[in-house]
Amino acid sequence: MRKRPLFLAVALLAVAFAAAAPVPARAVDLKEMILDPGPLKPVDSVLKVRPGDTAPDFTLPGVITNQGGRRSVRLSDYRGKKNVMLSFVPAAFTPVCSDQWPGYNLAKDLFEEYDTEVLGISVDNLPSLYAWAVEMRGLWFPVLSDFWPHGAVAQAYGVLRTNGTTERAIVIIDKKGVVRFAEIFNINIRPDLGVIMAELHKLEPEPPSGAPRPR
Amino acid sequence: MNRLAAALILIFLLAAPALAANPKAGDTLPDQTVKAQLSPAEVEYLGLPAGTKSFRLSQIKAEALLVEIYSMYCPRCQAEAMPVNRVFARLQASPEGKRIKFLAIGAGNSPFEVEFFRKKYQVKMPMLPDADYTLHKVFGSVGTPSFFVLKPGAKGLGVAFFLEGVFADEDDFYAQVLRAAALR
Repeated sequence: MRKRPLFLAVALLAVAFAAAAPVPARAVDLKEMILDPGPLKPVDSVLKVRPGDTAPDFTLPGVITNQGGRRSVRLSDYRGKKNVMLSFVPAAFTPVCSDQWPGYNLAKDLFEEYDTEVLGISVDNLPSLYAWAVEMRGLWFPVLSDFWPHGAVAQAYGVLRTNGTTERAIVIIDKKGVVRFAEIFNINIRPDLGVIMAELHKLEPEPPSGAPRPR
Repeated sequence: MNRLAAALILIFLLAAPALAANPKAGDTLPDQTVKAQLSPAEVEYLGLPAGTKSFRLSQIKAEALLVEIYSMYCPRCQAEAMPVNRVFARLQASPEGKRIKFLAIGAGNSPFEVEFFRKKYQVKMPMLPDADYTLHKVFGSVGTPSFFVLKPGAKGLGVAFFLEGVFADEDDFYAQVLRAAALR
């Protein structure tokens, strides 16, 4: 019997918290077509790469909608040519993910000025990724499928969650193939573009002409 | 007691759609205090005291407010940026339009992201970052883009017009805004 008031209080608090929690903004065209999983455990894996490590190499099948379809990508092909930003996202057609890569679309000039290729990665299969990229009105960067062996690349980087999806993680790799930044962000929240640009700024200190200065 | 707790949670779940319902004309929004780093030109445009860093929306010197809730990450907001700029320019160029102040709120957008969007599209109107969705929640957690015409009143900000989504026709949208603000 003593437990009842406590239980009631906890239940009331849970209800109040749910009612008060902010809801991320969603583009109107996605609002009704995307299943909202609700708040998820913010981080559910442990990174296996650190700044200074050589980035684990991989080859993945991918699609690049703005250039007509399939494209297989090997990370080490960028060595000596371009910096690379790996953008791991949990899954296609999910709320926050659908609201992340369109921003990188808009920031294409910034990534180019920092001489950086963006590689989007999720554990979805290729047809799903392609349909999703088209639904996002096309993306200028390759979107790679880490579907089979399931999440093998995510596992190598330490960003595979226990339910088989990937973390919302950013890994920045310089032209020597060395990891310069690696972070798992709260899966429920989009990483701030300002944080990403500040990290790229460290690699290419000449500030882009049209960009606000990074923090 | 378990049943009572379950009932409370069920009530909340059933009420959630109502809580999530979009605003509509006739509703009143709370007169939210906003903290923002405004440029001197933005402070002047909004009719706020020089050096303002925090203000209530009702303090903006205007007969009505046009507010866009947008996000840098939303493809439709990106596509709508230039039409929105043209609406702002049109308001600025018209004696009746000048009685309305237009501002944009970047839902979930950091100051960097707002500045990036501003430079990308040469946006001239005041833009407020809302990284933690505080303002977005006050405005009903609407989809992006959304547009409100608000009339300051004793109880808060009266919603005179609400549109969730892009406007199909600039002329129609402009006329609707003026009508809602009772300036036409």
